[in-house]
Amino acid sequence: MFGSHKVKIEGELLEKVKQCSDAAGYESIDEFVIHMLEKETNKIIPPDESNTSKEDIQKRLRGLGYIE
Amino acid sequence: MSLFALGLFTSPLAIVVMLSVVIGLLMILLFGYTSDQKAIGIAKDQLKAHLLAVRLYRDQLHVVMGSYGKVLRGTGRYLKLAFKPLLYVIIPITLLIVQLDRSLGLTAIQTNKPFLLTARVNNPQALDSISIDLPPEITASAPPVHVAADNEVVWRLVASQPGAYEARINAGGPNATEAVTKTVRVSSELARVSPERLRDHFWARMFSSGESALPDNSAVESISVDYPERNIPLGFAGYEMNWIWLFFILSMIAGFIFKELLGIQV
Amino acid sequence: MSRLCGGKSVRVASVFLLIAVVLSPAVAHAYAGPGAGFAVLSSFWAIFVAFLYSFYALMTWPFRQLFRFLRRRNAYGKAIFERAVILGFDGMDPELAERFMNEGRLPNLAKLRDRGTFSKLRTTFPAISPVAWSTFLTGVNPGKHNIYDFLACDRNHYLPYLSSAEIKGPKRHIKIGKYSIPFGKTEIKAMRKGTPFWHWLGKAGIFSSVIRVPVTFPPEKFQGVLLSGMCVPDLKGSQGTFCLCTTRSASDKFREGGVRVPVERKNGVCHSYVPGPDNPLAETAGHELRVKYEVRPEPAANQARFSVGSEKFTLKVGEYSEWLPIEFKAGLGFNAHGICRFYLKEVSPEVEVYVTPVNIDPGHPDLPISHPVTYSIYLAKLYGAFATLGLAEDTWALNEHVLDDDAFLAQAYGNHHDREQMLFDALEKTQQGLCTCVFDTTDRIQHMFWRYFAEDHPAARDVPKAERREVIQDLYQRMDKLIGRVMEKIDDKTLLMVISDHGFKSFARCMNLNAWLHQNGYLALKDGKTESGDWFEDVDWSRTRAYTMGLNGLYLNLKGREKQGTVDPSEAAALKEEIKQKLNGLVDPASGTVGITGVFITGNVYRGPYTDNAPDILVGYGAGYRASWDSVMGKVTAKIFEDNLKAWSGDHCIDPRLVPGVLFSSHKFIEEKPAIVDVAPTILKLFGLSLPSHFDGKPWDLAPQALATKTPEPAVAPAT
Repeated sequence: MFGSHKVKIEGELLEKVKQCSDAAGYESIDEFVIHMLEKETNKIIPPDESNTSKEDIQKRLRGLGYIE
Repeated sequence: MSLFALGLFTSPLAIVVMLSVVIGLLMILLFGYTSDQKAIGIAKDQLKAHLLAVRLYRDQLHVVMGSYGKVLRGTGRYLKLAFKPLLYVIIPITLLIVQLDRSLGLTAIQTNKPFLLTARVNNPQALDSISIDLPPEITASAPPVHVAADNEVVWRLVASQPGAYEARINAGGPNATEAVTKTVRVSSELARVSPERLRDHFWARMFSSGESALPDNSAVESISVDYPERNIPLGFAGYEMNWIWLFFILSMIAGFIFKELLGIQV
Repeated sequence: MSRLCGGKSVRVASVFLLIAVVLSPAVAHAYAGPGAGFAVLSSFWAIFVAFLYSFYALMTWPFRQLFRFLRRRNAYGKAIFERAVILGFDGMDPELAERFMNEGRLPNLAKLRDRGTFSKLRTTFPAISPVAWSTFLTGVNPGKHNIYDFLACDRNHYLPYLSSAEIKGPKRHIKIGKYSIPFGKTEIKAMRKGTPFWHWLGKAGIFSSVIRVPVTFPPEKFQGVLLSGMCVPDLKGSQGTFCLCTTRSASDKFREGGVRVPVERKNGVCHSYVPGPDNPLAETAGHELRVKYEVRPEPAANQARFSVGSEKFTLKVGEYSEWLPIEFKAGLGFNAHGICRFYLKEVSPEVEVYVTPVNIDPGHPDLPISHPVTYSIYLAKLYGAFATLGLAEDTWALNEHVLDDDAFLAQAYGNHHDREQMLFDALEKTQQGLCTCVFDTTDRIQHMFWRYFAEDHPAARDVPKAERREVIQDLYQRMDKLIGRVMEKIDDKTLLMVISDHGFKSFARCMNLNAWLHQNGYLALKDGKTESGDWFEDVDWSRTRAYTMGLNGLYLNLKGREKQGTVDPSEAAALKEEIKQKLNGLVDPASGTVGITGVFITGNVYRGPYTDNAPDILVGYGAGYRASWDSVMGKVTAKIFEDNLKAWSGDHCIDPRLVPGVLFSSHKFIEEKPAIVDVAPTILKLFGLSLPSHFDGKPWDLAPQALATKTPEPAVAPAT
């Protein structure tokens, strides 16, 4: 539905991204970039919260043995 | 067949379609009631599983070959399970096909079109004295041909009027005491015909004759009429098909639909 | 007769038919009507397809082998073992295992101990299955895989959500008449980060069979087969909603886990239904799809006849049906395919039927539960339908007394039996590479039957000791026998590891941490309130500095993070330290026992990019304690400590140092303090692969004698 998109990172930026990714403990540059983008886009466009009613939550958690 | 007599269906295609649907339904029901549905379901599922295993583990030759062996074994198991219901289904369907073939497989003799009537005798001497008595509506259009090698005499005949007629064959010889007859059906409509009359051969009579057996003491072994084979026009592009194959295909389609609707495992 | 053309076809067909019946059933079918016609066509089709597949496999095999050889030179070239088999027993406790081994109850585990390795396996903080198994499969700490509990906290709403996966229906709908037709695909988003180690194996050309490892939903693509485990939802999208159909009038309702459905009796026939998912075509939520069924009680025979769709069967009281396919029809061709089991509880004077949660049908999965999708279909075709729900054993039905002990055990061991079949199939199919399977039975049964095992559990005080069943002893013995059967299937070229994610302790006392926070001034209630309902209903956030949700996590109400945050980030560290100091060593006044033995600031125990999503503090309860049922759900009660009276009587969501898992192996490892995070790097190393730099675990070394004993002789003796 959403497709995918590739972004080319090169040169100095790529080097910096590698360093930051390794230092933070990411598994790969891809994971780092996706996480950063998620964080930033969530600040601008908050995640869809239309499903966040207590009833829905309770319904989804039902049967999880650890909670009543 | 009384159904034909009612005149509800005069087109052979309509009859075959109707029969295919009805028989498809009945056979599926019979198969469903007489088979171990659960076991057949399991056997089929296992076959599918082994086929899937070949795909899932395609890089592992021992799995591929092992699964192929299991597919073969599974097929055997599956067919074994289908064998019992098959026995229940086979007798009625065999008799039904034989009976239907009398009407649907052959056409009656057409008026003014020559046809052959063949008599076979049990000894060459009988050929010398054999003769035929024909009703006025049927005439010989050529002298009889004697085929000594086969102990056969062939008459070329023509019918002038529709109807069911009796041709009387008088054969000489030591055992010949009386004449024997053969029905000849002349019609342009759908009609039930018997292509030959036989003296013995129970199974042969069962499958190809609609008449009583010839007397044992007659020199005549068989009398046959070469009713033309009927091909059913399919209604498009001039295609025709023998009714049995059409019946086979249509009843399979009908059966497939009914098995899905009724949830019967086949 | 050659001239008799019309009769020829029928004669040939008929004679052929009869001969064929006797000589060759395969051919005969083609002439015996559509039923048998299908049989023969299907058979030929099966053989034909198998032949094509096999032909393709054979023809391409040399090329693929060459390709694999080139790749395997790096992997198998340095591999110490041809195959690794990892059996996971969720919650197997090292102390119990040792005790039962010493009592001679576990001969096969004892053989592994004597010839290979037996050790405690350090677990994660917290010691909760989704956290620990995520660490097992990724080789990293929770700060890198992002799973900290079953629940995660939505800081905007102070509400929980499932931490493992998020399922969102199509966003767009097209309205046609009374229908609102969903347009697009259901989106399943995996919340767990990190790459399972079998993906690294796959990249090196090593095949893996992975069965029911937790937090593998949604399944990801790799070289191998995988059946998802814990966290797979039921067809309603919940973690398991059972259904009690009853003629008794509803006097109470279940708090969680199940729904009560009325049974209507008419002329001796009872009518009820199985509730399903919401209708996807309905404009508004809450329009539940249902499948009706009939029950005809036969009290004299203590049984009832059931009619569910086209399925008809008879059950005695106390008996389960098989897994039955069940189809919820929404209209316009939108159907949901599930499976469930019926259990007849009572036929007289009332009629009561328990129905398991409706599991996703593995033979017709509406959501992907395996990789490839055909793997679950393959297993379903091979062995019949099986439980696909993540938490398949219905613990709530036993808690609510809807199922009794025997019915629960029958259900749990039924699922276990199915899992065993899958394991042995995977063992047969995976002669090289990785074969791993996790069994949940150990966890569920210990949760529910610790009350009989513990000396003085409040949930079983009324049960005389003589009447207490040895359920847990029997459980360990059964698992030992399974291990024995696995040992018979492997040789010395295979490494066998038996592991668990955590151990077990009694859960006799509940602690409401929210109540403690309230009574110690960290959590405030709205004016006039002394308690709060579920999910902080009556909490005054403007005066609250800390709260707890889930099993071990404690959160600060942090400004800029929580929607109504009160704690300035500059004060956070001091506040965390203050709470830690107060909570650590907290004593239960009723018993004088320490209820909390460890409090951990997550910044000190986690490293990784997702640490921000973790709770601020992890609370480690002492043995015998756990977060109360109310506290987990964000409820504030007057009492801090209370007895746990539920059948759910054992637990492990406590101080992780008290509940390590187990490690057994067929070959001896030299490692003093092995941890679950080490398993992934160890396996990669044993297959000769280099380790990714982000791994937190350290690979274990094999003892020299383990390397030396690579002979055809089995590493361990066959099972008894």
